[in-house]
Order: sequence, then C-alpha cells, then structure tokens
Amino acid sequence: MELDRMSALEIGERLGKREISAEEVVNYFWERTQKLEPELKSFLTTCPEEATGVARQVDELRRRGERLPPLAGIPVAVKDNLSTRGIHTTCGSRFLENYIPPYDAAVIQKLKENYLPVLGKTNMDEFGMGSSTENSAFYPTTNPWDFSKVPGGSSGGSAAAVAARQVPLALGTDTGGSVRQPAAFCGVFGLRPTYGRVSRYGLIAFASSLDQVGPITGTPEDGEALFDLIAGYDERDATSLDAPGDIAEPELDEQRVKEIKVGVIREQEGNGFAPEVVESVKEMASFWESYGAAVEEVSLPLTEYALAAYYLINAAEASSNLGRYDGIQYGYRTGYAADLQELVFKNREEGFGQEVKRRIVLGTYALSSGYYDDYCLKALKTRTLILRDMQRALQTYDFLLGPTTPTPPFGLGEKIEDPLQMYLSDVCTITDPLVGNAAISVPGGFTPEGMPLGLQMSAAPFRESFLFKLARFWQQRKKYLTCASLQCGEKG
Amino acid sequence: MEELYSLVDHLSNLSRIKLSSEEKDLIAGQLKDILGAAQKVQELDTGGVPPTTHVFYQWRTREDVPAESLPVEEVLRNVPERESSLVRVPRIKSLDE
Repeated sequence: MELDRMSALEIGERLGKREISAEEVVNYFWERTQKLEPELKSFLTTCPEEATGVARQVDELRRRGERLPPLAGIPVAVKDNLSTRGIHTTCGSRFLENYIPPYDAAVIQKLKENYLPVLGKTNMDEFGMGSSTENSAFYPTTNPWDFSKVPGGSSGGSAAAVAARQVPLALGTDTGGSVRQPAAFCGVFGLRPTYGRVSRYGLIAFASSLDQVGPITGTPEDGEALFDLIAGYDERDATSLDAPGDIAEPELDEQRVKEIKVGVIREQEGNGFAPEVVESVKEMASFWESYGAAVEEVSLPLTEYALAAYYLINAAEASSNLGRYDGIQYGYRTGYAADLQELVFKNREEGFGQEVKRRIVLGTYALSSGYYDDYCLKALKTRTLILRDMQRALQTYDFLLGPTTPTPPFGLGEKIEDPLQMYLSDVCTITDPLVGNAAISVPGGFTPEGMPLGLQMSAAPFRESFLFKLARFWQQRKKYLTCASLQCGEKG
Repeated sequence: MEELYSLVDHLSNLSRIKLSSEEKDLIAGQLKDILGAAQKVQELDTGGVPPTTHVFYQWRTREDVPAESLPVEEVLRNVPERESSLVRVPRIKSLDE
C-alpha cells in the first residue's frame, strides 16, 4: 500500500477496518523518513521505538474491539520547541542541546490521549527566530521540492516532513508566520489558530502574546482533524480561552459560497511582491468570484507599520522570555567561569546563536529606560490601531485574501547575511498574530520552476472551521499536488 | 557608528550576553538598519490610543490547590553541575576583584 499517497484520515479509516496495522504504518513512515532524511534533515531527534510502542498499543486495543479516535495510530512529527517528556527538546539551540523535559506540553498530552505516535522532533530556527530554518544551531533543512531552496521557517522541519510525507501530520508553532510561511514554501496546508485556542503549556516561549501551536498537513481535512484534537481550554495556560471547544461550521456548498464576501488585501502587491505571487492571488480571487462570492479590494492602510510593530513587540517579549536561560539549573554550561556573573555571561554568549543575540539586544533596547515609550509602547499602541483596522475590515468581509509570502521559496544562504531582508519575508503573516485572527495557508499553484506558492485566508477569531471549509472547497477543485516526495523519490 | 558600538556594549551588559568585538561590530551595523526600519512606527499619531499587550486578555485567578509535583530527581536531571540534590555554581564574586 502506498501510504504516502493517502491522507491521514484515509489511513485512519484503513486502520479502523484493520486492513493494515498501526505498527505497519509506523514502520512504513519510519523507513521513508530514514530514506529521505539525508537530503532533507527535517528532524533533530527521531523516536521510532516510542512510536512503535504506541502503534502496538493501538493494534492491541483494536484487537480487543475498542473504538479509537480517527487519527489513532497515525505518525506525527512535532516541532522541537514543544516539550516532550523524556525526549530531547532543543528549540534548535545549543543552549538546550542536552535538555530533556520532565513533562509533556499540553498538545503532546493530547496527541498521547488520542494514540498518535510521535515519530520525532523537527528542525527549526533557534527559539523560532527565523524564516528559513537556517538559524537552527544544528543544520538547515532543505525544501523537498528543490533541495537548494529553504523550506521556510521557523517550523521548516515540520513543513518539509509533511511535504515529503516522512509523516502525514505535523505540529508547528506560529509567532509571526512560522506555521503558514513554511507551509506555503513546502506546498502544504498550515493553520495559525486564534490566539488562545490551543494551550501554550509546555511550548517553550518566544513571544508570549503571539505564540500559537498549529497543524501542518497535506489536506485540509487532516488539518481540521488535528486542530480539533489539540484545541481546547487549559487552565495551565493563563491566556487559554475559556470558550466552547467545538465551533464546527457546515460544509461549504456552491449555494453557500454565493453568500460569502471576500476582501483582497490591496497592500499585498506591488513593490517586493513577485509577479507569480500576485498572479496566484488574482487567480484565487477570480475563483471565488466564479462561484458567485462577492470579491472586493480592501485596504489595510497600516500594513506597512505592522512589520515594524511586530518586530519590536516580538523582540521585547523574546528578550524578556529568554532572560531565564542562565545555564544554572538546566541548559548550556561553559567550561570555566571565575564567578557567577561571568558564568551567566559566558553561558549565554556560547549557547545562543547570532539571530537570538540580535533579537535579545534589540528587545532590550526597546524595553530600556529612555527608549521604552518611543519603541515598545509606541509599537503596542500601533497594534491597537491595526486591531481596529482589522475589526472594521472583518465586519464587511468574511475573510481576507492575500499571498502567504511575498516571493516564492528563496535559496539556501540567499538572505542569511541580511536580517532585515529576512524579516521582510514575514510581511504577509505578521498582521494576523498582532490582532489574534485565525489564518490558513493553502497551496496556490507552482512557479514555472515548479516551486510551490501559498495563499493565505484570514478570518475573525474562532473561525478555524470556516477556513478549513474554504480550503477544502478550493483544494477539491484545484487538486494541487501537496506531496513533493514523489519528486524526492525520483531525485533522491 | 562609535555611538552605536557603545550602545551595543551597554545592551550586551543589560542582557547578560558577552559579545566579542566582531559581534558588537556586526550587531551595531545591523541594529542601525533594523532601528531605522522600526522608526516607521514613529510616523503614526497614537495620541489617546491605549496599548494592546494581549488581544483577548481575560484576567483569571484560581484557587491555590495542592497538586502532585514532579519527583525531585527527575527535575534535577537537567542540572549541568550538581552535588546530590544541590546545584553547583562558581563563587558569587571572583577573588581577584
């Protein structure tokens, strides 16, 4: 059986009918992972033994005739900033190279409760800071569609693993686009949930007011199933939303599409936007129009201020969150230090990479006395204005449409020397986190060179289910290939 | 540039990260560009606008309820240097100062 050509839910159905065993499924994907890993390097740690253990449990329960959740037995890869009890969790950093969490993140507990075998921990930009996975302290991940290109970031390992079908499902985290941008670059589906819908307990913090965990999958149905499984209130996360967990919306049919109003974001074209990217947005706009939806241009005039506000806020929050890494109770410890102060200074010097140092320094600046009002506070007030703008737009439109990224995937090494250029690649994805929207990246076709393009649909908080239905309506008709592994196999 | 260099020096001290002089040079140069871009927010009139730190902030407190803790041995497994259940660090102040 060619499991890499099936969705997770299709595999789940076969597991339910006992046409195949969970152990066989895990073995299949573990073998694929090993075969593709030398080129891709999606993983930082793999745990096939633990995964096989869960699979055997699933098989045993099924033999006894127990009914199991729909994704039971389907291997999943999780980003390496999600704490896994007894399994290395490095955050892509030297600082946490040897760190083994004594507890599971809330989302990992949910995976375990639903019997999903975790096949491994995926590569990422250090602490989530980056857009290409090149800021991993260990090695970069490559894009499965072209090994000379980046997979995006910071959840580049998760997106590459799904696009190559090393696993059918993965979890990433999104602070300013870190689920959606790599999903776009790797030609798969990635959701950033509403802030507060998925517990951050056990997610190693980068910018706490923005961080969210989200699914990366090959189909929108798999994405919705995985999202439903991880979402929900958790009292251990003070920002978890105490709201109904299940807000499923009915399936979209051609009748219902006629009632939808789409706003195409005017500011997301022009300077800095590649022509094929702009073209793919137009194609999606005409698609919805052809099914009778009302499609109009909408202006978000503060878009150009959002990137500056975003980088100030994330750096400020990061510098504060990363203050905890002193290397005393856990983490990197230098060889020799004359006293306690020197120990901390040296641990942080040797344990952190360039980008992390840069953001800590920038954040410290924005928070420091004399600059706080002009930078941090100003950015937070700008955030209020952006929020008001967005609320106005979403009163008129059911969702906003734009590209996920301003350009197709760029080359490895192309932007790594120029942090500002790298930051600009997040320009389409930073607004939704600032305002708490739900947003999804869906495949939007390919460049003439065969690289994937991603399109983004953003909706009001709590409308994840609506976004998945839109994605499904689109993909059912477009049938974009979301599995680069077929090509990988040929190239590899 | 020299001003920026000493600013980075100051910030490295505040953020408890030792930076080599090459790193300071590099970060000073990049900080100039990044701060230039971040200046953008200054153009906006934000008079009377409140800051947004969290989009949906629900102030929530809960009762203090004793719960099971992780075993001490498990928690201390990540300590880089220890003596039995104590964390070992160098002296607070170096003797040569």
